[in-house]
Order: sequence, then structure tokens, then C-alpha cells
Amino acid sequence: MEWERMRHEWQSRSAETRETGLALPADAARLWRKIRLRDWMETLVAIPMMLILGIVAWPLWIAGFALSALSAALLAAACLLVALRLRRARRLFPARESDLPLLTFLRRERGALVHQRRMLASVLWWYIGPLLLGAFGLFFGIRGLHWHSLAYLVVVLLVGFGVERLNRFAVRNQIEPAITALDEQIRQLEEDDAD
Amino acid sequence: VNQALEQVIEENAGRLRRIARQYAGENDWQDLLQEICFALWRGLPGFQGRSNLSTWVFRVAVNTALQFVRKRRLPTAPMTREPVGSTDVDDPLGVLEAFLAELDPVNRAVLLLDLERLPREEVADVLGLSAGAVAVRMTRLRHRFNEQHVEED
Repeated sequence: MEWERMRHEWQSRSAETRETGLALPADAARLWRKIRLRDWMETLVAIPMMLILGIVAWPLWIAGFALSALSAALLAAACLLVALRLRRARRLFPARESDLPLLTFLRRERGALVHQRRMLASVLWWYIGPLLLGAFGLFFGIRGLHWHSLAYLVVVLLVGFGVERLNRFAVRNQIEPAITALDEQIRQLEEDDAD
Repeated sequence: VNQALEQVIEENAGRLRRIARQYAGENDWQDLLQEICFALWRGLPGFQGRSNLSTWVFRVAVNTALQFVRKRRLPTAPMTREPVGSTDVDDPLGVLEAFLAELDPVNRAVLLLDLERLPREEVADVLGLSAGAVAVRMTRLRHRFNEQHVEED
């Protein structure tokens, strides 16, 4: 069958089917609200936590629990850091860019994934570490050297280790293959353009 | 925006379905279709008319489809599913759909845009390439299709 006829057949056959399944604007708006709420959830949690911990730090310091006070301050700073980093990531790679030309879109996607990989690789230093260390310091400063504190330390270390391993797993099994696939697609398109 | 979106979707429903069905399986092509419609809804207020509306719609659809394939980690080539609407290998459209399914997502997009009768300049605009590069790729793809399927007939 010649190509022109193939095109005609292609369009007419698909036109025969009139399935529903197209999103209505109201559904889209509802979905968007959900996504926005999910995006802001960490910030909505982080800011009150930061305020509470900041307020708690002072009376702890006055009461002589210096380690706990410093740990509370560390936790408050960590909450702020997490909120700021997530906000920065959202600003660097806004979701509303699916109308870019494909090659540009793929490059942006790759950029976002590389950024995500970098964030996950350093998650120990900006997310897990400060939060767990702060939580342990707060507990240890109040309880002192006690088997409860040591048990808590073990739990904290295990949680930190587990989260770190999960992140590495996600990078290796999800992000790296996606970057490789994007590299291949970008390479193909760039090669064509260079011909 | 809502009224404009409804009109865009109405005018492009067939094209959007055809794209969704080529990038997702029988069970999830409607999910992809929803994602494309959602991306259109998100992007429509920012559409400034620098390109044709149809080009813009195709851009959103192709980008969303490729993202969908990547996120769901669907196999890129070949897609392991029956051709949509036909399982008869003697049916030329069934053969075409099987050929499309064998292609990687980018080449599939090029061929789909051509099947949708998008002018070469607009295909180039969708892909972010020069019209010459699109012509070269299209020639290669048609040649490959003819070699694999037409000459056997």
C-alpha cells in the first residue's frame, strides 16, 4: 500500500472509534490541586516544625540542657534547609514545560534527573544526617548516657542507613536508566541535526 | 481556559487517542490520554500563538508520551503488545502498527507525526530539529518500513 493511502487509512480507522476517556477541565483542576498540595506538604510540615523547635531551643538552653537546645536548633535549621532545597528544585525545573520542542524538552528532563540524582546522592548531608543527628541529640541531651539513649542511637543509625540505601537503590535502578535512555534519545536527535 | 481546552480536545481527540495508543498498552493508554489532556490544560494559558495550535498540541502530546514511557519504564522497542485494532498480519495497518511498535519512542513520534499529515516544518518544530534533519529521518524510516514489509508482498 502506498504511503499516502496508508496515512488515509490510519486516520480513518482510528476515527471510527469514539471512546471516551478524555479529561474534563474540572478533573484536571482537581488533579492539579492535589499535586500542588503534595508538593507543598513537606514545606507545610517543615515550617511549623522549624518554629516549634526554634521556640523549644531557648527554654532548653535556659534550663541547662545545652546539647538538647543545640540539637533543637540544628533540627530547626535542617527543616528550613529541606524546605528551601525542595523549593529551589521546583523552581529550577517547573512542571509546566511540556510544550517545549522535543529536543529541548529531553535536555530539560535530563537536567532535572541529574539534579535529582545529585540531591539523592547528597541526601545524607542535607536531609537524613541533620534530622537524625538533631533528633538523637535532643533525646540524648535530656536522657543522658542511658541504655535508652544507646538504643535510640542504634535505631537512628539503622533508619539513616536504610533511607540512604533506598536512595542509592532508586538512583541505580530508576534515575540512572532514565538518564541513559534520555542520553540515547538526545544523541540520536543531535546526530540527525548535525547531518 | 476550560472552554478553550474543551475545544482543543474536541478538535484533536482522534490524534490524541492515536498517539496515546501507540505509547501505552491496551490497559493504560487511557491513563496516558488523561496525562496528555492534563498537560494541555496546564500549558494552554501559556500558549502564545508562536506556532500553530496543532503543532503545540502535538508537542505536548509527544513530550508527555515519551515521559510516560520513561516513568513507567515501558519497554521502548519492541513494545510487547498486540497491534491496536488488528492482529491480522496481512492487514497493512496491522503491519504498520507492528512496525511502529518496534521503533524507539523518538522514531515512533516522527512517523506518527507524518501519519497525522503534519507538514515537515511543523514536525521539525515539534522535535526541535531542522526540516532537513526531519526529512532525512523520515526517508530512512519509510525506507526501513518498505524494506521490512512492502517488498515481502
